[in-house]
Amino acid sequence: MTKDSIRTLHWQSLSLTAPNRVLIEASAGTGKTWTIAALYLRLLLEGTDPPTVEKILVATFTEAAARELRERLRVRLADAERELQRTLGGAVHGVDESDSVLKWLADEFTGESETKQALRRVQLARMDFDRAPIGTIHALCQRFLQDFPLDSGIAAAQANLDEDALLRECVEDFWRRRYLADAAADSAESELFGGGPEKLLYDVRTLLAQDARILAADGMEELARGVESLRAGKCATRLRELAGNRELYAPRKSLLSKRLLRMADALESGGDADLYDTLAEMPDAETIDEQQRADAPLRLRDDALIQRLQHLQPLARRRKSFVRGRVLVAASEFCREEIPRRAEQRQGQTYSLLIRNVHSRVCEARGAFAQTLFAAYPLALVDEFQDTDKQQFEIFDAIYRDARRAPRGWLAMIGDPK
Amino acid sequence: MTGFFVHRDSRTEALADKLFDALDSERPAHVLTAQTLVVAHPGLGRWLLGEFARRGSRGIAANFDLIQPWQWLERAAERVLGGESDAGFRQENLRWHIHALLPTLDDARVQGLIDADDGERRRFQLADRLAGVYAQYLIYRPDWIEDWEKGRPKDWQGSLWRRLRQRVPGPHRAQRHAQIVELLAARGDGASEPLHVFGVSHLPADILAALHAVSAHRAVHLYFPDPCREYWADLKSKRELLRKGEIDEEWHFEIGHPLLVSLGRMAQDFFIALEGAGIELDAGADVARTQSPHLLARLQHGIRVGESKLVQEIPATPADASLRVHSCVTRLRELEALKDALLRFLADDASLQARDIVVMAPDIAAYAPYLPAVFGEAAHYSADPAQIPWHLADVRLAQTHPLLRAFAKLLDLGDSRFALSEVLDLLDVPALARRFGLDGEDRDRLESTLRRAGVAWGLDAAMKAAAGGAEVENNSWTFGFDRIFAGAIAGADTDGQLLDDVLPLPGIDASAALVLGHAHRLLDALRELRDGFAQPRRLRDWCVWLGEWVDVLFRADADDAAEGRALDALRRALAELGTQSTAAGAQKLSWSVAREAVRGQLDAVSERQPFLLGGVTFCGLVPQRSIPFRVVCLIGMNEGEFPRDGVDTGLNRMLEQPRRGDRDTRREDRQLFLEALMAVRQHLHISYIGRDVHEDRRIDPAAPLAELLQFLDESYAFHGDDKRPWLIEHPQQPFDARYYDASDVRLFSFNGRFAKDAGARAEPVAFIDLAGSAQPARDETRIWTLDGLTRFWRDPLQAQLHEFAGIDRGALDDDAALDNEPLKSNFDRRERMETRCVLDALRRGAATLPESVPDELARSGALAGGAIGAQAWADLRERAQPALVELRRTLGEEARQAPRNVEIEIDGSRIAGTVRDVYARANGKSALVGLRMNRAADFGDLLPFYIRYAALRLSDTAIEPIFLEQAESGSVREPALLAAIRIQDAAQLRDGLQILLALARQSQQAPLPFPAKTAWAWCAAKPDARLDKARKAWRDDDGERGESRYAPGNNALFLRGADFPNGDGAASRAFARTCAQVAAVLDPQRTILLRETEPAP
Repeated sequence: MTKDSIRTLHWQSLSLTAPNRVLIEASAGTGKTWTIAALYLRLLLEGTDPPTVEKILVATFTEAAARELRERLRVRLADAERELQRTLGGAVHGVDESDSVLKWLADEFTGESETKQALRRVQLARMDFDRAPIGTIHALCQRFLQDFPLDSGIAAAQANLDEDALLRECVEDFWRRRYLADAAADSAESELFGGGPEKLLYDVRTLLAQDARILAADGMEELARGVESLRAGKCATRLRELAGNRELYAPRKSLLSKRLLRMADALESGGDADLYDTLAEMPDAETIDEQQRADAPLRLRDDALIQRLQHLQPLARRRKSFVRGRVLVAASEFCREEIPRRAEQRQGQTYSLLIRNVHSRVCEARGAFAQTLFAAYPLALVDEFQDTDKQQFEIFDAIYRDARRAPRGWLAMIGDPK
Repeated sequence: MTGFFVHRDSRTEALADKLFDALDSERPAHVLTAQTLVVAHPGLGRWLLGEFARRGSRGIAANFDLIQPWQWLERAAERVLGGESDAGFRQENLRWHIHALLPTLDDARVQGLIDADDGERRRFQLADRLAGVYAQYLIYRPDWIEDWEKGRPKDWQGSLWRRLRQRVPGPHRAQRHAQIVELLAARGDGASEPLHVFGVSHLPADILAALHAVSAHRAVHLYFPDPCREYWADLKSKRELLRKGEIDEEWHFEIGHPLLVSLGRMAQDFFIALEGAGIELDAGADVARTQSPHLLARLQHGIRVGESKLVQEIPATPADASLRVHSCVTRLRELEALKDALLRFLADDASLQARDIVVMAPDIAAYAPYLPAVFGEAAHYSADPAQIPWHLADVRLAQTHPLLRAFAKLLDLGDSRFALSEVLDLLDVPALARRFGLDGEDRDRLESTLRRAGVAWGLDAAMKAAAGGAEVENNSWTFGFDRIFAGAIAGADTDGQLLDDVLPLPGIDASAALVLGHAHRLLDALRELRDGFAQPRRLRDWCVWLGEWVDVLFRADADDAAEGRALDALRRALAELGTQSTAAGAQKLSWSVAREAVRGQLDAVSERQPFLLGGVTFCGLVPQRSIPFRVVCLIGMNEGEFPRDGVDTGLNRMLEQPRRGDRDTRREDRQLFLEALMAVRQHLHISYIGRDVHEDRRIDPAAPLAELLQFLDESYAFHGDDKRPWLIEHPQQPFDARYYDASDVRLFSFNGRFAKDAGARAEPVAFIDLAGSAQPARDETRIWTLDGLTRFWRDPLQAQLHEFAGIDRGALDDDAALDNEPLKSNFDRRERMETRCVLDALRRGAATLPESVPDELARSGALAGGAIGAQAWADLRERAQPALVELRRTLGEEARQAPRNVEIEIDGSRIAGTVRDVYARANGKSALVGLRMNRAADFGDLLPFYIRYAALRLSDTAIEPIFLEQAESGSVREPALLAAIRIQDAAQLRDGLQILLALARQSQQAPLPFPAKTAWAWCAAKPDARLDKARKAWRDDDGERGESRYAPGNNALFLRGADFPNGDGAASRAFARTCAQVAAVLDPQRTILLRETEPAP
C-alpha cells in the first residue's frame, strides 16, 4: 500500500463493496471493539444481498478477547433488534443519540419495508449466531483444517500437544546429544553446564516464539584465529621483554607490566579459559598511556603486538555471548527440525505447527485451499492486527487475494499502532 | 386387523400404558413364545421392561425380543430376499474396501493426502470418514447412489463409489430397498400379530416405507413421543421464515410456540414424513388445561398445546424449584451445585428415589474424572443420607475401566520414552500388576529402589538414541536393573567396588530382589511388545496378536466383577475388529493403521454398556431415548459444546444440500434438549459454565438454553440485569458464606465441613495439625534408633512431614524433573555430594580426590555423563580437596576408620545404632568426624553430630569430637560451637540427649515447630535482634531463598500463609519455646555451656 492510498474514513463511510481492504488503527481504549461491532452490523444489514453470520470471519488473538468480542457482537445485535422494533412500533423520537450506531440505524432505516427487512436480517443473525466463525486465529485455523480435510490434508482431528513440553524435550535432547555422550565438548561451552538446559530452553523459546534467526556471529572465529596466531608467534618472549623494560613505565605504576607478564604466562602455559580471561582484562589505550612514563622511548599503544591484544580484548569480553549464541543457533535449528517430526510421530500438533500447517496449505502456489476458504468466508475482520505474525498475516492475505494476486473479498484489519 | 396406527403423546409413560394394554391383550398362546418389540434405542427398551415388570399383573416382563428398527428391517429383508446380505456395505467393512481403493482414485487432492508423510494413517482415517458418509448416503440419498452407478455426475465421490461396487459383492441397502418394499407389500414379513414400534421420533425413509408396506398384512403401531399434541406440521420456524424472507406483509403471523418450532425440528420433520406417507395421525391425547403453580409444568403444557402464554399466568418465584438454571464457574462446581440440589430434592420428598434421577451432559466423559470426587465411589450404597448412589453410562469403552485406559496407553508404546513415572503408572492398574506378581505396596518400594538405582528414562543406550537423546546407557532401565542385580549378587558388603563394570546397588535383600525381578519381567514384556509393533500384519493377525498380549499383560481378579467385565469387553472389541478382516483382505497393515482401528474400537460407546442400573444415572445426551424421569438434570450446557458440531463437514455432501428428514447432529441436539424438557416430571435442573473462572466475566450458555432463557425473559418481561428467579449464579467457592446464611433460598449447601468457617474466614492456622488430622494412629511406643533420632534433627520439619503425613520432599518439589537424568554440572544438593566424596576418600585413606571422575561415581547415575560430568567433577574436586586435606591434617594421616556400635539408655528407652565415622587415631584415641561443606554449620548439622557424639561418649569416655565447616569462601575451620560440645561432661551430654529425645517424642503428639536454619538464626542472635534475624532466615530475603522455600512442604504445610515468625502468634511462641529448649543443649550464643537453662523468652 503506498502512502497516497491511505485515507482516513469514518466507520460509516467505509466502503463495504468488495474488493476492499481496510486497516483500522485504534489505540487501546479508543473503542476498537465498538468499531468492529458497528462494522459487523453494517455488513449484515446494508445492501441488497448482505452476508449471513456464517460468512463473516472474525479473528482475534486470545481466548478471552474472542469471548469478549463474541459477547459484544451479540449485545450489538440485540440492541439493534430492539431499536428496529421500536422504530417499527411507531416510535418516531427518542433514539439514544449518545449511541451513534443506534442513531445510524434510525437514520439509515426509515421506511417501513426497509426497517422490516433490516429487522429480519438482525433476527436471523441472532438465531444463527452460535455458528458464526468468531474466534482466535488458532481456533479458526483448526476449523479450516477440520472442515476441509481434502484441502488441508488432515483426515482426522489431531491431538493438541503441549507445545512447551515438546520444546523442553527437544532442547533437553539437544543438550544430551551435545554434552552427555562424550567428554570432548568445546571447553568454552562448559560454563553453560552449571544450570543445565534451563537457560538454553528459555533462549530457544524466546527465539522460536519470535520466529527470529540469529545471524552468524563470526567474532568467535576471529578471536580463535587471533589467539592461535598469538600462540604461534612467540609473542610471550616479546611481552616479557616489554614488561621487563622499566624505562617504559611511570614510577609506581605496575598494573600494565603485571598484566603483560600474566598475558605471557597465559600464552605459554595457561588453558584457553585462562588466556581468554586475561585477554579480556587487557587495559585500554588510555590506561596504557597513564601507565607509561611521559618520555618513554616507545609508545606502547602503537606497538603492533599490543595493538593486536587491544583488538582482541573486546572480542574476548564478548566471548560468553558468542558461545551462548553459537549453542543457541545449533539448538534452535535442532528444535525447528525435531518438533514437527516428533509432533507428526505422535499424531498431534502444537499451536505453532497448526499455524504453520495452515500457512503452507493456504499459501501454496495454486491457491486452491485459499479459494475454498474464500468461498466459505468472503468477509473478514481481524482484530489485534498488530499481534499477528508474518505467517498469520500471510494466511489472511492469501485468502483475500485472487490468482493474479489482486485483492478480493472484504478484509478489515484492526490494530493498535502502539 | 391391519393398518398403520400412530400414537402420539408427549409423555412416554402414557405411550407405554397404551403399549402395555395392547401387548397384554395379544399375549401369545404359549408362554415361551417371544413377543417381538421394536424400540428406538436399547436404553429405552430397558426402561420399558422395567415399566412392564412394575405394572404387569404377572410382576415380570418375560420373553420380549427387543430389537431396533434397523434390525427389524434386516430381518424382514432376510425373510423376503433370502440369505443375501449387505454386510459389505456396512460402515465398519466399507472403510476397509475404501482404504484398499483410495490409491487407485484419480484425484489430486486425495492423492496428495495419502502420499504425505504418515499417509498410511491418513489414508485409513479418510477411508473411515468416507465410509460413514457413504453409509448415510445409502439411507438418505439413494437417488445419488443410483445416479453414480449410472455414471453421472463425474466427481471423485461418484467414481470411488463405482469402484466400490466392483469390489464389494452383493446388493446394498439402497438397491434392495425397492425390492424389499415391493415384497413386503405383496407378502408381508411372515408374521400376523401386530407390530409395535416404540419411542421413535425419527425413522429413515426406507424403514418407514417398509413398515408402511408391511402394515397391509399386520397392524403396525408406532408410538411417537411427540412434544406437541396439536397438528403442527405447518408451523414454520421463525428462522426459516426469516431466511426465506417470507415474513413481510403479514407481520403478526402464527409461528406457534417459539421453543417448539426452534427446538423440535426433527420431530416436526417426522410428523411431516408420516403425513407425507399417507399415514393417518391420531388427534393426540386430550389433556386438561394445567392448573399447576409450577413454572415447569406450565412450560411443558404450553409446548404440548402450542400455546406460549401459559407460563406468564403465574408469578415466577425463587421458591419454585421445578425449573432452575445454575450458572457455575467450572465443571467441578457444576457437580457440587448438582449434588446439593439433588440432596435437597431427596430430603424434601421421601418418595423420591435416586433411580428417579437422570443427569445428562453433551460430553459426560468430561465430568467422569470429577464424579468420584463429588459423589464418591460409583454404585456404592450406604445408609448415609449424604451419599447418593450413582452410575455412569455412555462413556467410551476405554474410559470405563482403568485397565482399558492402560491398554489404550500401551498402544502408543512405540512412541514412549519409557519414563520411570510412566512405567510405574502402569502398576497402578491392579490387573496388570497382578499379572506380574506385584501389588500396590510393591509399587512404592519399587519406585524408591529404581530411583536409587538412577533409572530415569529409556530402555537402553540404543533406544535413547533412537528417541532423540544421546546414546548413553546411564540412567536407562537396563542400567538400573544391572545395578540392582549386581547389588543382589554382591549382597550387603558392596563397598563401592565395581562388579563387572557395574556399580552394585546396596540394600537389595532377597525379598526386594524378588519384587525387582517381577518388575524386570514387566519391562521385558513391554520391550517385546514395543518391538512387535514394527512388523506389518494383516488385520486378523493384529487382532490375534493383541489378544495374546492381553493375556500376557493382564490377569483379572476372580472376585472383581468389574475387572472381569472390562477384560471381556476388551477381548470382545478385538474379536469384533477381527470380523472385519474379510473386508480388510490380505493386505498387511502397518501398526499406525491398525492402531487407528483398534483405537476406534476402544473409543466407541458400547451398546452393551449397562444403563439404568439403579441410583442416579449419569449419561450422555443420546437420541431416541426419551425416558421420563422425576428429576432431569442437564449439565454442561455451554456455548461451543452444545449443540455438538457434526464431524463430517467437508466430506458429507448432504450438509451442502440438506433435505427434510436428514439427521444432523445440531438439529438432533436441539431435539434432545426439547425431549429432556418434556421428560421431566418434577424438577428440571440445568447448569452451565456461566462465568469465567479467571476473569469475572459472563459467558453465554448454549444456544438452546439461551433460547429457553430468552423465552422466559420475554414471558416475564425481564431485561438486562434483572434478577431472574429461575437463574442461580453460584459463588466461585463451595465455602462461600452465601451458602450458609440463608440470604437466598436457592443457595444452600449440604456440606457441613464449611459451615463452621463460612463467613468468618479466620486467619490461616499456622502449622498443620498433624496430630488432629486423620492420620493412622501413632505408635506411642515407637523405638527410636540412633539413626532415626539424627535423621529427625537434621531437618525436623521434613522428618515430621514424612513420618506423619507421608509427604516427601520430592513429591512436592516442582523443580525436580523426576524423569530426567542429571543434566547439569551443579548438583541439586551440592554439599551432600561433596561431603560424601570427602568422607569416602577419608575412609579409604586417600590423600587426594582423583583427577578424573571416579568409576563408582560415574556409574552411579548420580553424575551427568560426558563433558558435563567431567566439569561437575572438576568443580567438586576443586572445592572438596581443601576440606579433605584439612580433615586429614586434624585427624592425623595414620587414622583409620573404626565404626562403633553404641547402645545407651535414656529415660528408660534404649537407643542403639552404628556410628560410621569414628576413627582410631595414631595416639590410640578415637575421634568422631563431622563435616559441613559450603556454608557454616547450623543446628541441622550440629545436633545430629551432637547426638552421635553424646551416644559414643556415654559408652566410651575417650572419644574426641572433630567437626569442620567449609564456608562459602572455601576456607575450612572448626565451628565455634564445637568447643561447647567438647566441654560437656557425661551428665550434661545425658541431659542434652534426654531433651532432644523428649522433643522428638513430643512431635508425635503435636507438631514441633523447629525449622533448623531459622532456629539457628534465632538462637545465634542477641535477644532484641532475634525476631528480625529469624524472619530473614525463614522468608526470602535479598534474593536469598528463605528456609520456608527450601523444601516446598515447609511453606505449604507448616507456614500456611501465616505471618511467621511474628513474636506473639501461637506458632511463633511455640517456636521460641522449642528454641529455648534446644539452646539448653547447644546454644550458639554461648560456646561454654551453663548447667542451668535460661528461662524461656
